[in-house]
Amino acid sequence: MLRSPLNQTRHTRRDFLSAGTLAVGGLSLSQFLRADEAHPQESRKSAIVILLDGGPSHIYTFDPKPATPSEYRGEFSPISTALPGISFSEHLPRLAGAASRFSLIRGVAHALSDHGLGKQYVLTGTKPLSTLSYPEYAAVMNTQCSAAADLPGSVAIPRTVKGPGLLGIEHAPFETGQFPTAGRALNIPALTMPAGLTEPLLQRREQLRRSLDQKFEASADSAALLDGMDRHSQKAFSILSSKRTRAAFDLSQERPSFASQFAKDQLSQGGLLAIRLVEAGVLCVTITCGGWDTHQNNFPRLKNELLPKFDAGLTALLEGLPQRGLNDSTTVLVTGEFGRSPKINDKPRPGREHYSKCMFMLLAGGNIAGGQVIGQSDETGARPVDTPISPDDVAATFYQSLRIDPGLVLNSPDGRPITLVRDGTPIAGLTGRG
Amino acid sequence: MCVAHKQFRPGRMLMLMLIVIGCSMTAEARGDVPSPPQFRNHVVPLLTKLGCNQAACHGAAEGQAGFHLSLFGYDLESDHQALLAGDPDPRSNWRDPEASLLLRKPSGLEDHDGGVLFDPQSFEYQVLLEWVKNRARGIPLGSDWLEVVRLEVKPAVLLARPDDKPPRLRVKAHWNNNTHEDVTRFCRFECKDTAVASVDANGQVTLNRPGMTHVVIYYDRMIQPVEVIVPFPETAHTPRPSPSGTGVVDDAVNRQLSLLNLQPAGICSDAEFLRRVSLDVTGRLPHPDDVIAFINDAAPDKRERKIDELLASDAYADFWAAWMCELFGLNEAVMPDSIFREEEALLSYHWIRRRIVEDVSYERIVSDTVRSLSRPEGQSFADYTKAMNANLRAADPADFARQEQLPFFWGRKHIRDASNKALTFSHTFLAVKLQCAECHKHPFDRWTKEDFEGLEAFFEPMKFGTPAGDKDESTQLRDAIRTPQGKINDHVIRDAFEAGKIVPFPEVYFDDNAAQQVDRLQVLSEWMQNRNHPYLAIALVNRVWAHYFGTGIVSTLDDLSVGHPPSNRQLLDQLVLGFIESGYRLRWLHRQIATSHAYHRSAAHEDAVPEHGRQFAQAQFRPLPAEVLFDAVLSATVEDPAQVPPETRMVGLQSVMRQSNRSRALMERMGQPEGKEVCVRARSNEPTLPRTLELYNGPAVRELINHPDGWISGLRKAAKNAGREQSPQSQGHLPDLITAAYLRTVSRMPTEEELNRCQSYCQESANTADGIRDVLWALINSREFLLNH
Repeated sequence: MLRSPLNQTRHTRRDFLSAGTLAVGGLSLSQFLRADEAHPQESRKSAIVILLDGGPSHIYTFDPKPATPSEYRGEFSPISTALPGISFSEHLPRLAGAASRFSLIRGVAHALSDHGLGKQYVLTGTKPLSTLSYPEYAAVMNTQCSAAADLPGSVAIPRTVKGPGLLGIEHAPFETGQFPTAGRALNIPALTMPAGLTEPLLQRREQLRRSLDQKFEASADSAALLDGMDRHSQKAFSILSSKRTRAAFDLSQERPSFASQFAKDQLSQGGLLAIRLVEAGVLCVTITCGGWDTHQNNFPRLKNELLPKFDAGLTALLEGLPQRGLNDSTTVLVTGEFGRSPKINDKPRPGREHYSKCMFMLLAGGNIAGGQVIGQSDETGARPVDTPISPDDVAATFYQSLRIDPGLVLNSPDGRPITLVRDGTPIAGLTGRG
Repeated sequence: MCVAHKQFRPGRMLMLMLIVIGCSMTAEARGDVPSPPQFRNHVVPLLTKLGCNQAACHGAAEGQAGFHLSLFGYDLESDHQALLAGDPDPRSNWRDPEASLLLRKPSGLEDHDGGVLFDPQSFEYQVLLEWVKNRARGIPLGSDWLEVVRLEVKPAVLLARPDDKPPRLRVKAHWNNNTHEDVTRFCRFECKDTAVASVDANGQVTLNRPGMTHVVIYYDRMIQPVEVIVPFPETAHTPRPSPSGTGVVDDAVNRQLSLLNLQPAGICSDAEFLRRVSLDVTGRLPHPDDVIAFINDAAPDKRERKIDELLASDAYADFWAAWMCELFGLNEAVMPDSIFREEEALLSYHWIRRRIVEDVSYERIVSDTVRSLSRPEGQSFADYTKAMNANLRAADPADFARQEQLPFFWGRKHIRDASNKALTFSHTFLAVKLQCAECHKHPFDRWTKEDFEGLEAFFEPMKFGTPAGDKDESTQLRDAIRTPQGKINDHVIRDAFEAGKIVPFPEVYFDDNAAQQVDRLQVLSEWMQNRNHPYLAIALVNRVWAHYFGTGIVSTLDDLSVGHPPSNRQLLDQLVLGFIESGYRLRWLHRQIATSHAYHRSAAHEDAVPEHGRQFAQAQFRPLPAEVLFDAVLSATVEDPAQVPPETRMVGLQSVMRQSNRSRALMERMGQPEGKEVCVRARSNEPTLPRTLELYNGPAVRELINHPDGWISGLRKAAKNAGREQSPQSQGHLPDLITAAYLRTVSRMPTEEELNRCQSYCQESANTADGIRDVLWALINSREFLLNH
């Protein structure tokens, strides 16, 4: 009804599914797998979005300023990277070595140094508006691409930050509610078989439900509603009864040799789960990892905790994707809601304040050409040199790499035409590959 | 929802259509080309009709191929400039008129991305040519200005059979100098439902199939709908529906059904009716015992008595107080003072609820909300502080509810700027959508950018904080509650408040002189009550109607515009009039609707067509709102549905607690909006996948079904105590348990077949309780339960 232009790709799929499932009794996994064949693996594009919640300092990560006075450059030294002439913070040694795996965008800038607004901006690619709530990337992918039948279209680890906005709750990412623990199955109640139920019992219960749910004969007028409800119930059943789905969320089923590349912390394990989910057919996994709001106690927190974990976690993800053959089909976006002030504050245990006029973002995988550094900040990291790159531009690039037209027109719930990325232009040269 | 918006948006399709239309028109005489054509009266309407100034074409913010027109022609001056410009070739060249790009491009003589729109013989070409020849004049100065005052359309209503060829629509514009002109060729025609009828660019209507729709005519700033009625064919065995009824509603609905010869659905069963009316009036399922009693009640007036009983219940007050809080945007997420948002939301809810209980005039509720600043006139800062501290501390919110005004409306934190105040005001009370007019002319209504700016300016001086004159006093209060270290922040203020100290509150006030204050809000509230444009009543009546029928009389609940005509004008007019005459009493409105035959119709109809829903000839399936759905699962699963603890219900007070409610995340997945929306209807009761997952296997629903104090656990205990689980005797009460599960969920007795099916399922289960648990689960996940029908 409201979102007709978006649902078109899904309709054919749904029709296909329901046709496949009208057959005797239950829904077998093979039917869903056959449904999958309609959308061969190689055409599927996926995304992993990592939000560094709180806003990481660009200077302490990918844009060090060693030539500035100490109240600007801070305690850390730069190290050289795999890219000639480019240095990172000394606490990102593995990412420095893996710099050819991603593209770094240095001169990103916007004007919203509030956490909430900033996150809304970087997760949608459009400045937050009071009258219209833009959808986050995951929700857009839900509407534009088709996920496997027995999986949620997109997953948020642990929770979604922005939400589906004008696309409606239908397209909200599925929330895990928690970070996974190494070597364990993620305990998600909605995906866990109720106590006392086994698969045959589940089948039997579903058959009872269907046999009782016969009261309404759909007329031409109500068919969309009634059939839609039916399809949702079928999907709920197939998600719950699918071994594949349970396996995707179960890190204990990972090959030890692969799993051992991932550290035990939240980001690393979140990354491992993301790889498994994308491999199974989830379209977009968003990982929100906090702790970056370093107003004080800057140095120890970054040095001992945040940067080493980030370094190891992101490197493992970027190296893990190609090992699973997922690199070309999966675009990775890493961003905070803003950067941090070039000058260190004068608190007793100093830190840096919110700062949106200069920050970094990172893109990898998909058809993103790796090993590039786009944009540049000035000598203190206070402003981009030349034209700033906006979150909108990065969003346009990101969507383009997923083969979603950034100029796509969505319909708002009140029927207004809304352009997916209003003000952004894909960054030239980034999405060249593949 | 603007259906029409979608229809004329995508550029390509439209261009293709226009090519066809353009060609078909070339044969027409060019005799009626006005001489000379006027910029505002002919050229701009023509460009609008051709689609040139749409968002997909030159109306885009950045224009198209260097040529920008204002969207839908709202800015005549800049459009005129744009038409004169063009480099190196001017778009309008009066030295060599035929060389004008304005003519060469759309006629295909030069490459045009928008395609070929007309040929050089066409009427359009001639009009534009004549205009250019006459020096492409813009807006004349002084008395030459002709303004259109109304459109006269003939015929005013089209009533015809599908195989008739109706007369062509003719449109006459009446000018402000008492002259008129046929402007048919300059009007844009649009048919709301092209399945019923279609209209071409000349105003020729083609009837496609029986039904009712409107042709909407756009010219300059005028919009005029014309009703098109195509009756269903007569058949030998069905009499034409009676054109009269026994009340405002049935009179109007039946009259139209008779005109259309549309057979309505029969009257629904008693069980169906009880469930429907209980859910609609109180947001609750009927108690199983009440279902039985109602079915067995032989009195002819039992439905009416039930309606009155429900309207007098506490559940009605809870449900409709929450409904109105949502309409007004009063909830915890946006309360003015974030430190005290929970208390402020609670007080707002009770303030509204009291008025629902007392059936205070809706007009009065709105005016007491709109006229309220934080401080009543003449109150000092000290008194205000004292009063607020007392209000928020009050053990009984009923005291606050007795106050005349509600001080939290204008201070809400998402409407701090004037533009959002204007948007929320027009959206909430008038269902007028000004978002479009914020930037350009409203595409389906008369509202312009100037109208929006006028309303915005109205709110400009309204501020939130502490007035300059009271800053010192406020600072003193803040200083008095600082921590020993001199710290003051939200936590410190909250702690001080809880320790019984007096804390300061920000407030809504006017930034200019006091004399204007009262006037301002008074003017606003009087304007709303003006009976010549009763938007306040129309908006409410239409929204309440949609609550009962799933569809508004005007289908766009939040956009009452001329371009969205009602599906039954008499019904809307009569109901609005009656509502105003009743003194804006909500109970009157509920009663009119709920006692009408239209409301008692069955959802089942063998030959249902979309017209049945639109004409209220059949009940519609309506998914339950999030809170109602949750409460329904709750009452289906507790030991005794009559003993649901009030604080566990989501309908009512909990529904305004969009932050502190522990089940907020669940409610959100089931469709409850965030509560921070300025002017969009955010609630969708759509049965989405997240909602389905919650019901199918979500932890909350599982917990309710298996709750230690719940019905199923009770069955287990009883079986254990009796020690007769799986014994032959236990089968004896199985049908009773299955019947109970049906009464608890779908509020009816099971059929023989259903009973048998469930019985054999239970017999094959490990024990009776497991079997009944699954039956209950299956019913909760059935469409019959999830829908109101």
